[in-house]
Amino acid sequence: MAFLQSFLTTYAQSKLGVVGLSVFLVFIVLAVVTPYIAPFDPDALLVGKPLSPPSSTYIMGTDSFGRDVLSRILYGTRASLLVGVLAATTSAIIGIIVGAIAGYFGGRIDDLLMRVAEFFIVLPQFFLALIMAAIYGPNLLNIILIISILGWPTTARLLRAQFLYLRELDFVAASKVVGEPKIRIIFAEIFPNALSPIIANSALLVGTAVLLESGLSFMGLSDPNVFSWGKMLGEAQNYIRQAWWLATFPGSCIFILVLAANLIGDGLDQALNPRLRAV
Amino acid sequence: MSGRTTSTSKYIVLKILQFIPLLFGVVVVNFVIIHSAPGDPAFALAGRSLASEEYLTMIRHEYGLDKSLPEQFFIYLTQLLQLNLGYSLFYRSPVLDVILERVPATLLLAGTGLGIAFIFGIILGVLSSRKPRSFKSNAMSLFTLIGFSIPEFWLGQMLILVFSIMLGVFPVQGIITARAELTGLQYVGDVISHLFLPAVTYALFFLALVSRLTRAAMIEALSSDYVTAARAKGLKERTVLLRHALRNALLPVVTVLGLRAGVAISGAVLIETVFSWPGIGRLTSEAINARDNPMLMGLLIFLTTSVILSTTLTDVLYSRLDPRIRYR
Repeated sequence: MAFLQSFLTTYAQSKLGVVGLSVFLVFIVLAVVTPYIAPFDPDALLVGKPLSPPSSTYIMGTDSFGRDVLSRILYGTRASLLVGVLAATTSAIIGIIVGAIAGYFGGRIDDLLMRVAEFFIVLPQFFLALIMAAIYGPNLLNIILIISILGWPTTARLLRAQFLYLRELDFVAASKVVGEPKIRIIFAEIFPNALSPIIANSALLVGTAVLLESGLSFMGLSDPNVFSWGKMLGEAQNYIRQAWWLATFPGSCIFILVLAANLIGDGLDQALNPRLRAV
Repeated sequence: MSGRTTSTSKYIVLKILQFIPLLFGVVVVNFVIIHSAPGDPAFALAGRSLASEEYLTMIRHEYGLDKSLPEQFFIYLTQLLQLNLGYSLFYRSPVLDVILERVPATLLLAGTGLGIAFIFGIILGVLSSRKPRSFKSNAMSLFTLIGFSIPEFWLGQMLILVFSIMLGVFPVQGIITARAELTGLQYVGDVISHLFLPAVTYALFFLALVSRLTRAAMIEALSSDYVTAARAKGLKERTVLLRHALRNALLPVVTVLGLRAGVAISGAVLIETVFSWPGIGRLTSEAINARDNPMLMGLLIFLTTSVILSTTLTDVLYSRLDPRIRYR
């Protein structure tokens, strides 16, 4: 509890971090209460005249099918958050497993795994994601999996570096002497001590995942059953001369959500990294 | 001196040897994608929508799809080594020809964008490194954060809205004005006015990256002994900053940028789509819409190979630039 308290006080010192967290929480609340606050059915055609500009009835205007933009944006919050959080979590888990194995065992396994990680970092990620989504089909599960497969190497590298250092310390030697099983030493002894850089990095992964998802759906690779901000931007592309509101609002949402995630990442980094705190 | 030359050339050979497994990895990734695609791999190789049954049979035969997987991999590899990236039914020509036709436009866009990012990024980075805790410096960090958070394609749309549609300063899309028969300087001017907005959009992410890297490297360089020594000699602050600190700070900046070649290509896909810029990125979105799978797989091989080539070149260049790197 004392740790949590000290963590919260340090985190609160980063003003931008607090702003980011608040904005992110607002998005979560919006995603939950969407069905109660959305003014119209997001799928209903011709709730207003097609391409009507923002007004008191249609706060963010209507699209080319006469659907209400605000309602569609509100429902889009869910997909962005879902993809962002799930893809970040999955890639963090893959990264943690790979990084822990590489860092704990070292030697050949380490060499091999880090080579693979490097390979994935060098590849053009968004491009690879595009092609995989085009070939496997862009449903929500596939998109989350594709983003996770591309996102794990940063986590793996961070955790490996932590493990290389921690495994030499006395408490690990002590656990070995007592005869604890390797898997317990890795995940119950070393891992909790290696966690802090991973947490900050995961916030950044959420931002990257949201950007990737919106880029994919902008290119027309999105789940047809899901509302997506990126898809709205793709549709706006054809009406950019007539309807400024179609691109402006969904894009602002992506920008603000990603910025919030990145601010949280920076705030966490400052709160958890003792070297940064000292400065 | 001769000792250094041999160690550098050994280093280059070593790097080229490392290049081969990476390239092999790329081919494996492609092969895995083709064969894990839902349905018949012939569809992934031919393109589903346009292929006739005879054509599919031909593809099956060409790639030996009735043979075992290792044999298929070998056949696939041989095709690639002969620079056969497949045939696009949609464009009615070999995939590689279509790609090569589009490369110059992308190089023009990416080159200009990276140039802008590099020049202004270094200026911003140097300016903000002088007082790391000042307001200017904090504003810089916020700017970098915005550069990393903004979806590039949306930024492009917003720039089109403001500068092309509201103000009418720049053309909306394309690389030249259609049906205008321009020659000489007028032609160049027309291309530049089309290039401006996409290049600026493209530059923003890298501008953020370069300025942040420069700032960090400059802060480190400015606290080092040789800068203190240069100042003690009574050199002008300008000389210390530019000739002593910046020179050393640039090296890591160039390296990181070279290693981000993958990001450079990914950015082009979205931005070219927004601005209808007729390069590789626009080709990718056309291929996605046409379900032209051989084109997509060909693009993947082509681009990943170029990316790996450019990272290898960066490594080699680095070893030439940095006297501290010696490999035995």
